Amino acid sequence: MKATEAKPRGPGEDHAETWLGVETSTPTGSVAVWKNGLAFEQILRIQKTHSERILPAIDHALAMTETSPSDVNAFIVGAGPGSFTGVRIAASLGKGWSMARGIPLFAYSSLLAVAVGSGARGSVCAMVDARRGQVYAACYRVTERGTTEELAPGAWHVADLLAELSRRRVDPIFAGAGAIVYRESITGIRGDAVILPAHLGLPRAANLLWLRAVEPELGRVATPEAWEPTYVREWRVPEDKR
Amino acid sequence: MGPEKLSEKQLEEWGERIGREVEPPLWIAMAGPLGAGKSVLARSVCRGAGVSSYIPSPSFTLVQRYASPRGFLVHHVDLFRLQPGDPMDPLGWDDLLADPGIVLLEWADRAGDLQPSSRWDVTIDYVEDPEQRAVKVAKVGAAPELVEW
Repeated sequence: MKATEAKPRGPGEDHAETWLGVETSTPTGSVAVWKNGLAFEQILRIQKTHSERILPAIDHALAMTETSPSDVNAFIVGAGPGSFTGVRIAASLGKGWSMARGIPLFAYSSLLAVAVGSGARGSVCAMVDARRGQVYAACYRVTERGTTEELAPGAWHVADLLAELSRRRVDPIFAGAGAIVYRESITGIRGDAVILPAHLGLPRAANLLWLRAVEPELGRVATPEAWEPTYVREWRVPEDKR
Repeated sequence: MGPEKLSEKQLEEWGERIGREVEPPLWIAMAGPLGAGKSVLARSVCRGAGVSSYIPSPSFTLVQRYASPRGFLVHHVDLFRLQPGDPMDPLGWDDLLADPGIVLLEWADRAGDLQPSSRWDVTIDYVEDPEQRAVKVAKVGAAPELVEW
Protein backbone atom coordinates (compact mmCIF):
# COMPACT_ATOMS: atom_id res chain seq x y z
CA MET A 1 0.00 0.00 0.00
CA LYS A 2 1.34 3.38 -0.93
CA ALA A 3 1.79 5.59 2.09
CA THR A 4 -0.83 8.33 2.18
CA GLU A 5 -0.08 10.48 5.18
CA ALA A 6 -2.39 13.26 6.28
CA LYS A 7 -0.90 16.72 6.31
CA PRO A 8 -1.56 18.92 9.34
CA ARG A 9 -4.36 21.36 8.64
CA GLY A 10 -6.03 24.25 10.34
CA PRO A 11 -9.73 24.80 10.88
CA GLY A 12 -11.46 26.33 7.88
CA GLU A 13 -8.87 25.05 5.44
CA ASP A 14 -10.36 23.73 2.25
CA HIS A 15 -10.50 19.96 2.07
CA ALA A 16 -10.88 19.01 -1.55
CA GLU A 17 -11.06 15.32 -0.73
CA THR A 18 -12.84 14.61 2.53
CA TRP A 19 -14.14 11.08 2.76
CA LEU A 20 -15.80 9.03 5.44
CA GLY A 21 -15.33 5.26 5.51
CA VAL A 22 -17.32 2.71 7.52
CA GLU A 23 -16.74 -1.02 7.76
CA THR A 24 -19.00 -3.20 9.94
CA SER A 25 -19.07 -6.59 8.26
CA THR A 26 -17.33 -8.37 11.15
CA PRO A 27 -17.18 -7.84 14.92
CA THR A 28 -14.18 -5.61 14.20
CA GLY A 29 -15.86 -2.50 12.89
CA SER A 30 -14.08 0.69 12.00
CA VAL A 31 -14.57 4.29 10.99
CA ALA A 32 -12.01 6.38 9.11
CA VAL A 33 -11.72 9.90 7.78
CA TRP A 34 -9.64 10.92 4.79
CA LYS A 35 -8.59 14.51 4.26
CA ASN A 36 -6.31 14.40 1.26
CA GLY A 37 -4.80 11.43 3.06
CA LEU A 38 -5.74 9.18 5.94
CA ALA A 39 -6.44 11.50 8.86
CA PHE A 40 -8.14 9.30 11.45
CA GLU A 41 -9.23 5.75 12.06
CA GLN A 42 -10.97 4.11 14.98
CA ILE A 43 -11.33 0.35 15.32
CA LEU A 44 -14.14 -1.09 17.41
CA ARG A 45 -13.70 -4.72 18.44
CA ILE A 46 -17.16 -5.39 19.75
CA GLN A 47 -19.90 -7.99 19.73
CA LYS A 48 -23.38 -7.18 18.53
CA THR A 49 -23.40 -3.47 19.08
CA HIS A 50 -22.28 -1.81 15.84
CA SER A 51 -25.74 -0.29 15.57
CA GLU A 52 -25.27 1.41 18.94
CA ARG A 53 -21.61 2.38 18.60
CA ILE A 54 -21.04 3.31 15.01
CA LEU A 55 -22.81 6.68 15.01
CA PRO A 56 -20.98 7.90 18.14
CA ALA A 57 -17.77 6.66 16.50
CA ILE A 58 -18.52 8.73 13.40
CA ASP A 59 -19.25 11.76 15.58
CA HIS A 60 -15.93 11.23 17.30
CA ALA A 61 -14.05 10.78 14.03
CA LEU A 62 -15.50 13.99 12.59
CA ALA A 63 -14.81 15.91 15.79
CA MET A 64 -11.21 14.70 16.02
CA THR A 65 -10.55 15.77 12.45
CA GLU A 66 -12.49 19.05 12.78
CA THR A 67 -14.75 17.94 9.99
CA SER A 68 -18.33 19.03 9.51
CA PRO A 69 -20.75 16.48 8.02
CA SER A 70 -21.20 18.88 5.14
CA ASP A 71 -17.43 18.69 4.41
CA VAL A 72 -17.68 14.99 3.56
CA ASN A 73 -17.76 14.63 -0.20
CA ALA A 74 -17.67 10.84 -0.54
CA PHE A 75 -18.92 7.99 1.64
CA ILE A 76 -17.14 4.65 1.39
CA VAL A 77 -18.46 1.40 2.84
CA GLY A 78 -17.42 -2.20 3.13
CA ALA A 79 -19.89 -4.16 1.01
CA GLY A 80 -19.50 -7.49 2.75
CA PRO A 81 -19.68 -10.41 2.81
CA GLY A 82 -19.82 -10.93 6.54
CA SER A 83 -22.42 -10.71 9.25
CA PHE A 84 -25.77 -10.00 7.58
CA THR A 85 -26.71 -7.52 10.29
CA GLY A 86 -23.31 -5.88 10.27
CA VAL A 87 -23.13 -5.55 6.52
CA ARG A 88 -26.52 -3.86 6.48
CA ILE A 89 -25.47 -1.31 9.08
CA ALA A 90 -22.68 0.12 6.91
CA ALA A 91 -24.81 -0.20 3.79
CA SER A 92 -27.74 1.65 5.37
CA LEU A 93 -25.47 4.38 6.67
CA GLY A 94 -23.74 4.82 3.34
CA LYS A 95 -26.91 4.83 1.30
CA GLY A 96 -28.69 7.16 3.70
CA TRP A 97 -25.82 9.63 3.96
CA SER A 98 -25.11 9.58 0.24
CA MET A 99 -28.74 10.18 -0.72
CA ALA A 100 -29.42 12.77 1.97
CA ARG A 101 -26.28 14.78 1.20
CA GLY A 102 -26.14 14.14 -2.52
CA ILE A 103 -22.59 12.83 -2.44
CA PRO A 104 -21.13 9.77 -4.18
CA LEU A 105 -21.23 6.36 -2.53
CA PHE A 106 -18.38 3.91 -3.00
CA ALA A 107 -18.53 0.26 -1.93
CA TYR A 108 -15.69 -2.24 -1.89
CA SER A 109 -15.68 -5.87 -0.92
CA SER A 110 -14.83 -6.32 2.73
CA LEU A 111 -12.61 -9.20 1.63
CA LEU A 112 -10.72 -6.84 -0.66
CA ALA A 113 -10.27 -4.55 2.34
CA VAL A 114 -8.69 -7.48 4.19
CA ALA A 115 -6.40 -8.26 1.27
CA VAL A 116 -5.05 -4.74 0.76
CA GLY A 117 -4.78 -4.17 4.51
CA SER A 118 -2.60 -7.24 4.93
CA GLY A 119 0.37 -5.32 3.58
CA ALA A 120 1.20 -8.33 1.42
CA ARG A 121 1.95 -8.04 -2.27
CA GLY A 122 1.14 -10.73 -4.81
CA SER A 123 -1.70 -13.18 -4.36
CA VAL A 124 -3.69 -12.79 -1.15
CA CYS A 125 -6.60 -14.97 -0.09
CA ALA A 126 -8.84 -13.04 2.31
CA MET A 127 -11.02 -15.13 4.58
CA VAL A 128 -13.57 -14.27 7.23
CA ASP A 129 -15.49 -16.75 9.33
CA ALA A 130 -18.88 -17.52 7.78
CA ARG A 131 -19.79 -19.99 10.56
CA ARG A 132 -21.23 -23.46 10.07
CA GLY A 133 -17.80 -24.69 9.02
CA GLN A 134 -17.43 -22.21 6.18
CA VAL A 135 -15.49 -19.09 5.33
CA TYR A 136 -16.27 -16.19 3.08
CA ALA A 137 -13.22 -16.00 0.87
CA ALA A 138 -11.85 -14.25 -2.18
CA CYS A 139 -8.40 -13.98 -3.75
CA TYR A 140 -6.77 -10.88 -5.13
CA ARG A 141 -3.47 -10.02 -6.72
CA VAL A 142 -2.37 -6.90 -4.89
CA THR A 143 0.19 -4.45 -6.29
CA GLU A 144 1.17 -0.86 -5.53
CA ARG A 145 -1.09 0.28 -8.34
CA GLY A 146 -4.21 -1.64 -7.41
CA THR A 147 -5.80 -5.06 -7.26
CA THR A 148 -7.00 -7.82 -9.57
CA GLU A 149 -9.61 -10.35 -8.51
CA GLU A 150 -8.40 -13.95 -8.84
CA LEU A 151 -11.33 -15.65 -7.11
CA ALA A 152 -14.66 -13.89 -6.56
CA PRO A 153 -16.16 -13.71 -3.08
CA GLY A 154 -17.92 -16.91 -2.09
CA ALA A 155 -18.81 -19.14 0.85
CA TRP A 156 -16.52 -22.13 1.03
CA HIS A 157 -15.58 -25.09 3.13
CA VAL A 158 -11.85 -24.67 3.56
CA ALA A 159 -10.93 -27.96 1.87
CA ASP A 160 -13.03 -27.06 -1.17
CA LEU A 161 -11.51 -23.59 -1.29
CA LEU A 162 -7.97 -24.93 -1.24
CA ALA A 163 -8.83 -27.46 -3.94
CA GLU A 164 -10.23 -24.67 -6.11
CA LEU A 165 -7.11 -22.56 -5.58
CA SER A 166 -4.95 -25.50 -6.61
CA ARG A 167 -7.08 -26.05 -9.68
CA ARG A 168 -6.58 -22.40 -10.61
CA ARG A 169 -2.86 -22.64 -9.80
CA VAL A 170 -3.20 -19.79 -7.32
CA ASP A 171 -0.80 -19.95 -4.39
CA PRO A 172 -1.79 -17.12 -2.07
CA ILE A 173 -0.87 -15.83 1.32
CA PHE A 174 -3.84 -16.21 3.69
CA ALA A 175 -5.22 -13.27 5.69
CA GLY A 176 -8.24 -12.58 7.83
CA ALA A 177 -10.07 -13.97 10.82
CA GLY A 178 -11.28 -16.96 8.81
CA ALA A 179 -7.69 -18.00 8.16
CA ILE A 180 -6.97 -17.79 11.89
CA VAL A 181 -10.04 -19.86 12.83
CA TYR A 182 -9.22 -22.52 10.23
CA ARG A 183 -5.44 -22.36 10.53
CA GLU A 184 -5.12 -26.09 11.25
CA SER A 185 -7.35 -27.05 8.36
CA ILE A 186 -5.31 -24.89 6.00
CA THR A 187 -1.91 -26.07 7.15
CA GLY A 188 -3.19 -29.65 7.27
CA ILE A 189 -3.72 -29.45 3.52
CA ARG A 190 -0.98 -26.98 2.64
CA GLY A 191 1.81 -27.49 5.10
CA ASP A 192 3.75 -24.48 3.82
CA ALA A 193 0.82 -22.06 3.85
CA VAL A 194 1.62 -18.56 5.10
CA ILE A 195 -1.13 -17.27 7.40
CA LEU A 196 -0.80 -13.65 8.45
CA PRO A 197 -1.40 -12.69 12.09
CA ALA A 198 -4.83 -11.47 13.13
CA HIS A 199 -3.96 -7.78 13.24
CA LEU A 200 -2.98 -7.88 9.55
CA GLY A 201 -6.27 -9.40 8.53
CA LEU A 202 -8.83 -6.80 9.52
CA PRO A 203 -11.30 -5.33 7.01
CA ARG A 204 -10.46 -1.81 8.13
CA ALA A 205 -12.18 1.35 6.98
CA ALA A 206 -8.76 2.89 6.26
CA ASN A 207 -8.24 0.20 3.62
CA LEU A 208 -11.54 1.15 2.01
CA LEU A 209 -10.34 4.73 1.79
CA TRP A 210 -7.08 3.63 0.18
CA LEU A 211 -9.11 1.67 -2.36
CA ARG A 212 -11.17 4.78 -3.06
CA ALA A 213 -7.93 6.66 -3.69
CA VAL A 214 -6.35 4.14 -6.07
CA GLU A 215 -9.37 2.44 -7.65
CA PRO A 216 -12.31 4.82 -7.58
CA GLU A 217 -14.20 3.27 -10.48
CA LEU A 218 -14.05 -0.20 -8.95
CA GLY A 219 -16.14 0.95 -6.03
CA ARG A 220 -18.31 3.68 -7.49
CA VAL A 221 -22.02 3.04 -6.87
CA ALA A 222 -24.06 4.44 -9.75
CA THR A 223 -27.44 4.38 -8.01
CA PRO A 224 -27.15 4.31 -4.22
CA GLU A 225 -30.89 3.86 -3.74
CA ALA A 226 -30.79 0.59 -5.68
CA TRP A 227 -27.49 -0.73 -4.40
CA GLU A 228 -27.38 -3.82 -2.18
CA PRO A 229 -24.39 -5.17 -0.32
CA THR A 230 -22.82 -8.55 -1.04
CA TYR A 231 -24.31 -11.27 1.12
CA VAL A 232 -22.99 -14.31 -0.85
CA ARG A 233 -24.97 -16.75 1.28
CA GLU A 234 -28.54 -16.64 2.46
CA TRP A 235 -30.27 -18.42 5.32
CA ARG A 236 -33.65 -19.71 4.17
CA VAL A 237 -36.37 -21.73 5.84
CA PRO A 238 -35.77 -25.29 4.66
CA GLU A 239 -38.26 -26.53 2.08
CA ASP A 240 -38.95 -29.82 3.82
CA LYS A 241 -39.75 -28.46 7.26
CA ARG A 242 -43.36 -27.37 6.73
CA MET B 1 -35.76 -35.04 30.77
CA GLY B 2 -39.50 -35.75 30.76
CA PRO B 3 -42.06 -35.93 29.46
CA GLU B 4 -43.34 -34.29 32.63
CA LYS B 5 -46.86 -33.01 33.16
CA LEU B 6 -46.59 -29.38 34.21
CA SER B 7 -49.23 -26.80 35.02
CA GLU B 8 -48.87 -23.30 33.57
CA LYS B 9 -47.56 -22.12 36.93
CA GLN B 10 -44.98 -24.92 37.03
CA LEU B 11 -43.94 -24.11 33.46
CA GLU B 12 -43.47 -20.46 34.45
CA GLU B 13 -41.46 -21.42 37.52
CA TRP B 14 -39.22 -23.67 35.46
CA GLY B 15 -38.68 -20.95 32.89
CA GLU B 16 -37.83 -18.37 35.53
CA ARG B 17 -35.35 -20.78 37.09
CA ILE B 18 -33.70 -21.25 33.69
CA GLY B 19 -33.42 -17.50 33.17
CA ARG B 20 -32.02 -17.04 36.66
CA GLU B 21 -29.59 -19.95 36.87
CA VAL B 22 -28.34 -21.01 33.45
CA GLU B 23 -24.93 -19.90 32.23
CA PRO B 24 -25.24 -18.79 28.60
CA PRO B 25 -24.68 -19.15 25.72
CA LEU B 26 -27.89 -21.14 25.51
CA TRP B 27 -30.15 -21.79 22.52
CA ILE B 28 -33.58 -23.12 23.50
CA ALA B 29 -35.41 -24.63 20.53
CA MET B 30 -39.12 -24.88 21.32
CA ALA B 31 -41.60 -26.98 19.38
CA GLY B 32 -45.26 -27.76 19.95
CA PRO B 33 -48.71 -26.92 18.59
CA LEU B 34 -50.28 -23.49 18.63
CA GLY B 35 -51.22 -22.42 22.14
CA ALA B 36 -49.26 -25.17 23.85
CA GLY B 37 -47.18 -22.79 25.96
CA LYS B 38 -44.01 -21.95 24.06
CA SER B 39 -44.53 -18.23 24.59
CA VAL B 40 -45.30 -18.79 28.28
CA LEU B 41 -41.99 -20.55 28.68
CA ALA B 42 -40.10 -17.92 26.67
CA ARG B 43 -41.53 -15.03 28.67
CA SER B 44 -40.73 -16.83 31.91
CA VAL B 45 -37.11 -17.30 30.90
CA CYS B 46 -36.96 -13.58 30.10
CA ARG B 47 -38.43 -12.73 33.50
CA GLY B 48 -36.01 -15.05 35.24
CA ALA B 49 -33.12 -13.37 33.43
CA GLY B 50 -34.30 -10.09 34.90
CA VAL B 51 -36.24 -8.58 31.99
CA SER B 52 -38.70 -6.23 33.64
CA SER B 53 -40.16 -4.55 30.58
CA TYR B 54 -43.26 -5.60 28.65
CA ILE B 55 -42.55 -8.77 26.68
CA PRO B 56 -44.71 -8.75 23.54
CA SER B 57 -45.16 -11.71 21.22
CA PRO B 58 -42.54 -11.71 18.47
CA SER B 59 -45.00 -13.28 16.03
CA PHE B 60 -45.08 -10.12 13.95
CA THR B 61 -41.72 -8.57 14.73
CA LEU B 62 -40.04 -12.00 14.41
CA VAL B 63 -37.37 -11.07 16.96
CA GLN B 64 -37.52 -9.23 20.27
CA ARG B 65 -34.26 -8.49 22.02
CA TYR B 66 -33.81 -7.72 25.72
CA ALA B 67 -30.79 -6.78 27.80
CA SER B 68 -30.58 -8.93 30.91
CA PRO B 69 -29.13 -7.36 34.05
CA ARG B 70 -27.13 -10.58 34.25
CA GLY B 71 -24.96 -9.13 31.48
CA PHE B 72 -26.15 -10.79 28.32
CA LEU B 73 -28.89 -10.43 25.71
CA VAL B 74 -32.04 -12.51 25.51
CA HIS B 75 -33.44 -12.97 22.00
CA HIS B 76 -37.05 -14.10 21.66
CA VAL B 77 -37.61 -15.38 18.13
CA ASP B 78 -40.78 -16.70 16.49
CA LEU B 79 -40.64 -18.47 13.11
CA PHE B 80 -44.41 -19.08 12.90
CA ARG B 81 -44.98 -16.68 10.03
CA LEU B 82 -42.07 -17.82 7.90
CA GLN B 83 -42.75 -19.98 4.86
CA PRO B 84 -40.44 -22.53 3.26
CA GLY B 85 -37.78 -20.73 1.30
CA ASP B 86 -38.27 -17.44 3.14
CA PRO B 87 -35.01 -15.66 3.95
CA MET B 88 -34.03 -15.81 7.60
CA ASP B 89 -31.21 -13.28 7.27
CA PRO B 90 -33.39 -10.32 8.31
CA LEU B 91 -33.69 -11.99 11.68
CA GLY B 92 -29.93 -11.65 11.98
CA TRP B 93 -29.71 -15.43 11.97
CA ASP B 94 -25.93 -15.56 11.72
CA ASP B 95 -25.61 -13.16 14.62
CA LEU B 96 -28.08 -15.19 16.69
CA LEU B 97 -25.94 -18.26 16.11
CA ALA B 98 -22.90 -16.46 17.46
CA ASP B 99 -24.58 -14.62 20.29
CA PRO B 100 -23.22 -15.32 23.77
CA GLY B 101 -26.61 -14.81 25.42
CA ILE B 102 -29.88 -16.75 25.41
CA VAL B 103 -31.89 -17.44 22.24
CA LEU B 104 -35.49 -18.55 22.73
CA LEU B 105 -36.74 -19.93 19.43
CA GLU B 106 -40.42 -20.71 18.91
CA TRP B 107 -41.44 -23.05 16.07
CA ALA B 108 -37.85 -24.19 16.02
CA ASP B 109 -38.62 -27.19 13.82
CA ARG B 110 -39.00 -24.75 10.93
CA ALA B 111 -35.32 -23.87 11.14
CA GLY B 112 -34.34 -27.51 10.71
CA ASP B 113 -30.61 -28.06 10.62
CA LEU B 114 -29.86 -24.35 10.50
CA GLN B 115 -29.89 -24.42 14.28
CA PRO B 116 -26.68 -24.70 16.28
CA SER B 117 -25.41 -28.13 17.21
CA SER B 118 -25.45 -27.22 20.92
CA ARG B 119 -28.91 -26.42 22.29
CA TRP B 120 -31.84 -27.55 24.36
CA ASP B 121 -34.72 -29.09 22.43
CA VAL B 122 -37.96 -28.42 24.29
CA THR B 123 -41.27 -29.96 23.24
CA ILE B 124 -44.54 -28.81 24.79
CA ASP B 125 -47.74 -30.66 23.97
CA TYR B 126 -51.34 -30.95 25.07
CA VAL B 127 -52.51 -33.72 27.38
CA GLU B 128 -55.98 -34.84 28.37
CA ASP B 129 -56.11 -32.40 31.30
CA PRO B 130 -56.41 -28.93 29.72
CA GLU B 131 -54.69 -27.40 32.77
CA GLN B 132 -51.50 -29.30 32.08
CA ARG B 133 -48.92 -29.79 29.35
CA ALA B 134 -46.48 -32.57 28.59
CA VAL B 135 -43.02 -31.03 28.56
CA LYS B 136 -39.83 -32.69 27.35
CA VAL B 137 -36.36 -31.25 27.18
CA ALA B 138 -33.16 -32.73 25.78
CA LYS B 139 -29.65 -31.33 25.92
CA VAL B 140 -27.93 -31.52 22.56
CA GLY B 141 -24.20 -31.15 22.05
CA ALA B 142 -22.21 -28.94 24.39
CA ALA B 143 -25.16 -26.90 25.68
CA PRO B 144 -25.32 -26.02 29.40
CA GLU B 145 -26.61 -28.70 31.76
CA LEU B 146 -30.39 -28.88 32.03
CA VAL B 147 -32.15 -27.04 34.84
CA GLU B 148 -34.51 -29.26 36.85
CA TRP B 149 -38.25 -28.61 36.77
